Amino acid sequence: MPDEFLSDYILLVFFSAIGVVQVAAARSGLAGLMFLRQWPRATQWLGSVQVVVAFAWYATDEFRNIPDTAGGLDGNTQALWFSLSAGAGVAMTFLVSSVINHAWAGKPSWVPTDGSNTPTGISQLEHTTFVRALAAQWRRWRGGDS
Amino acid sequence: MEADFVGWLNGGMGAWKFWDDFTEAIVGDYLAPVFGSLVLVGLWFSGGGVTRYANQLTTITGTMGVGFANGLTIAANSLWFRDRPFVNADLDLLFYRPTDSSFPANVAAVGFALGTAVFIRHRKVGLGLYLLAFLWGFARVYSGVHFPTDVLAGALIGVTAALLATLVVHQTEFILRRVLAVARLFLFA
Repeated sequence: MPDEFLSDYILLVFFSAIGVVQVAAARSGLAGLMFLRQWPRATQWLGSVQVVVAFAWYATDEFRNIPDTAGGLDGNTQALWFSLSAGAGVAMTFLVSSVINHAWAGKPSWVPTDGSNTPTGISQLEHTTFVRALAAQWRRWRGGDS
Repeated sequence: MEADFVGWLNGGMGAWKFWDDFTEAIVGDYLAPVFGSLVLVGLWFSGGGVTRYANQLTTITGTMGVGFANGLTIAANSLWFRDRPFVNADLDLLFYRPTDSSFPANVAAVGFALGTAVFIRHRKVGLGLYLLAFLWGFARVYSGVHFPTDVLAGALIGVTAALLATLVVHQTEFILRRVLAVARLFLFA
């Protein structure tokens, strides 16, 4: 029972985090992070639906109001598993969006060594994917071209 | 008088099944904090350039605020012990029977800390989180596990904790700016 309770919590956070990141990416123009890059509005809707479905499932699937002494999660455990599960959701988003958008990101509309206007950090995902941006960063560190 | 109010409120249980089902969902330890924390995750990726940087500081402020709120609540719980409403009254519970102090309400502290941290920069989203915090606290009173003053005190602790976190983030921004710059190298910020 405790394991099932924890795994359900992990699933809730994992899938909700993916949905939330999709909504945020679509609203912020982070095309390289979106699963449906060409349809930002649809991405927002689907991301929102994913969050709603995850919460509805969690709320209705079983009775969840149980104390941490009877298989529930105390505050610290909850914080730990939230961080890990949300982090896993973000990592999964980085990987899947990098695969889906790999071909598109092959032709970046901005030149990474273009000086002060070069986007940094997450902003690079407006033009490329996480994996490609990280690879470019790695090449820069190693002194090669970007 | 407070006990009478909780008894009166709790007496309405069963009148509207939809409301009871909703309350049972929101009153718990999981959905509301997960939702509030997901808002912080979303803010981390939102905006662009300077706006995203400010949003990421909001995420850090919210996380820190929740930590402060928990710490202050634990300290207050150790100073004052108050029995839960159901201990001295025959109430219908939608919740398990907690054994720790009723005063102050930790859920209100956490909820209002999140709401305040976000409200400072994003009025609409912050108001939404305030509403969630209010509903969460109200559900606890309706369910007979907190008195209204527990929730009120928790809310005050939450607001104070978030303001304290805002101050700390402001004072340590020169460090956070560097930390975020490093995180940006790995596309984490």
